[in-house]
Amino acid sequence: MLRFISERLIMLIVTLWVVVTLTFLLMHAIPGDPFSKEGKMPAVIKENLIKHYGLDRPLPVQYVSYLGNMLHGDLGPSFSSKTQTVNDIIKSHVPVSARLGLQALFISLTFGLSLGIIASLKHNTAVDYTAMVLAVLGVSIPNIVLAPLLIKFFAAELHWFPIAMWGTFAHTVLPSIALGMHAMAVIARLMRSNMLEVLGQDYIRTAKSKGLNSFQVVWRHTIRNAIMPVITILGPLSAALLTGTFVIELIFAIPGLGKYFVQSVTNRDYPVILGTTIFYSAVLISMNFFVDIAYGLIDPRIKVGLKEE
Amino acid sequence: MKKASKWLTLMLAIVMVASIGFAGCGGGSSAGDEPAKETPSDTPQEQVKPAVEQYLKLNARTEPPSLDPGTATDATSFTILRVIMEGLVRLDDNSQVTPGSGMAENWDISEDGLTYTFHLKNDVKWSNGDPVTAQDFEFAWKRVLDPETAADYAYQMYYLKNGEAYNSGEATADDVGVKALDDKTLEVTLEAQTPYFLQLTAFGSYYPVNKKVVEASADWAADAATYVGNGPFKLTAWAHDSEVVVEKNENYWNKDAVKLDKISWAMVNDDNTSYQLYLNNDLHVDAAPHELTYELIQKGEAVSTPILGNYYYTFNTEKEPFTNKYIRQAFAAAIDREAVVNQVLKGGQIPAYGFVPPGSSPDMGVDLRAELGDLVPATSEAKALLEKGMAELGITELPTITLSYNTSEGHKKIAEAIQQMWKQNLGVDVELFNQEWKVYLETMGTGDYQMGRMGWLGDYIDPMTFLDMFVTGGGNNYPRYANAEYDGYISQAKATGDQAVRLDAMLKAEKLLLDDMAIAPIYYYTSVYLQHDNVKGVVRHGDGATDYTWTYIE
Repeated sequence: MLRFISERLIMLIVTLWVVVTLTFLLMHAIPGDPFSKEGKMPAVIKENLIKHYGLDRPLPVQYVSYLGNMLHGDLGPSFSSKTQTVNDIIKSHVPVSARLGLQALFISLTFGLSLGIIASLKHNTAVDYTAMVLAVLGVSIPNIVLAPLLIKFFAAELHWFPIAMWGTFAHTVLPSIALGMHAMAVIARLMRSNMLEVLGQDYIRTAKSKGLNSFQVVWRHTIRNAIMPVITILGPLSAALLTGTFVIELIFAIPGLGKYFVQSVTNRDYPVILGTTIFYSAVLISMNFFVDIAYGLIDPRIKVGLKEE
Repeated sequence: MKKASKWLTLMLAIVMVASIGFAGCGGGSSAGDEPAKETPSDTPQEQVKPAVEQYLKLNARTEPPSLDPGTATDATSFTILRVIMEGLVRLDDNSQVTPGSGMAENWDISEDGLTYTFHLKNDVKWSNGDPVTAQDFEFAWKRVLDPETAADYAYQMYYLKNGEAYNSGEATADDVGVKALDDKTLEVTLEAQTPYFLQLTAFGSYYPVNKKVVEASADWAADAATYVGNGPFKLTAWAHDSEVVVEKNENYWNKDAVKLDKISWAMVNDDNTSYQLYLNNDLHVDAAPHELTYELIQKGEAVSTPILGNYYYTFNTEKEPFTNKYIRQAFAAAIDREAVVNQVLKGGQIPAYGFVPPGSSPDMGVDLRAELGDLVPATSEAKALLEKGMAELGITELPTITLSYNTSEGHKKIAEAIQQMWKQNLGVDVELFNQEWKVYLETMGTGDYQMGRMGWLGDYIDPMTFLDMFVTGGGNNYPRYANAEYDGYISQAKATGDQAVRLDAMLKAEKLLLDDMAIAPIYYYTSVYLQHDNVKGVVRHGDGATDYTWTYIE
């Protein structure tokens, strides 16, 4: 296990290095410069800015200096937000995105798994159909439609929750639902189809014929086998939810990290592009690592880190 | 088997407990932190209260990129800066300069119009109690010009003697024409006569900064705790991407004129959400949502006000067939601007038949636009102009013509409508081409286009900010227009302080620009806003700047 963890750590560092290098090259390869605006600034001022941010140095020098600073935990300044460094941006916006993401993840897991399990156990009944209609709606209604609808009914009409912005727990409810809905639907559908598959297996029939009560059959033998694919998608899914999403943050005016992923590219804000990409990669890689460990815990047939049996 | 199922149970339990604990924490801490935060359902009761809370809720839409006057460049930052800082003058509700309206009590101007001596008020203080001194101004202005500061808006200070030279490293700070003669006297020397210089001193880049505070900490402007201003309000909270809060500054010299206790700027950038907040009284003033603009103006709920800016198509005068002036005139004439504004945009914009927008010359006695009238030939003449131009070029068939714009649904709609008009009124098929914004700027800058979309917002309130961009070789001269006669009018206007001479030269310049039709004006920008009826005393200047200094709630 220890060897497995250390191997994965080395992989993480190598992967991050590759991501940084590729991002660095790609972002300098796309045309457009960070300081251009509709009104062109005098050449002198642009020169001063370029010098100020060290962009006048050759690219390899910039690259090495960036890596050096990164190792010291300094992700650089932001070109477009003069009063925040990239570290500031990550520090102040990640907790918001992470909290929203965790709540959304909780909603999607709880309701997604429940819906999927119930639907499969009540296969081809009204319960099943209702659950699956819900799931299809969840998959097919995009955030950009769902979020304003939630605001319209639950905030503007019924006044149950604030319309938007960030502050109290009440502020987090609607965005968490909007953010978790799609994932919930995906999990519900996945869980249902896996459950149905497992329920049709011989060993379930054996278990039933042995006289095990149905709770034992479902809990011990079906769910545990059916949940594996859900665990697999949990890695990328939670990384995506935890690091912030542009649309939900825009609609609910939430100070999360999501918009920086998009705006930094539009603004050619190089340090922010790199910073957010590194952060996202690190979260994604870590999540996949946890998923690998979870495999071993849930299914004893999978021995993490042991290549020979 | 048993062991694994225990693990699963445990994991689920952990997830459950964590989430519940998490949610609980959130609720608890927020209740403690913000007891005053009202839930939407409380709002109607708030209104019934006899004494109206003087708390104005605004929407900045986005995070202000900088609240340091030295590095701020955008409308969002300047709107907030306007109430937490104050320059030598503060424009009044008619956008006029009056002595004593800002930090300066009065001033003397030398005969040649090059030297301004400002006398500061005696009782002016910073929000931390320090007196505002002439040294603060000198320090602030030189700081903007300092190449080390790398301020985008350093060029707003190029009016000062040796300003540009210092900014480009060819002169020292001591050479710059701003000097504190004593604590309360500031002497400013200009590079050339600038009749609108007093207007400029009200502009954000010309605000002072507290020398002691800035020298003590370079990051002073990044945090409400360290921020020191001299305006009617003081910055009390700044949660990035979330909210800026300012409260009445008891150290402000004219605090009796300030009626609001508190202003907050939310950062809600989604049209639908901000409109719902406005309807729910969570916002007092906001920009009208795009989709509903037309409807809201018709219903009288939204107000459209012109701002100093225009939207135009530029012709590349170095690329066939737009090397020919008649062909440019034909393409400009064939655009039905009324239709673009009323059927495509529907946002209260004003069709443009000239370049300089209305309201650009408040201190010249007459409005340049009104003097000039419409300068674009009638649509009915378009076809004849095209034929004349083609005959001059000696061609019987036009080459493929492409109109470029930066990728956006709005620009696309306009381009498609105008494409149709060219087809109908000129019989010409024009292709459309779009590029992502920053790439587009590069393409336009290198002149790799035939026709392209551009827009311009005035840097200051004077026609010159619209006209001097088209001098030969000018940085924003996208049409690559080169006309010695035009350059002559511009330098003539720039060399004098006599408003009559300036007006005459600028009138001639615009007439020539539109006769040569280097650009095809399309419409003048307007800002469409929503404002609750109980909000009074909001001052909106001609250039779109809003001042909440004297605002109150009834």
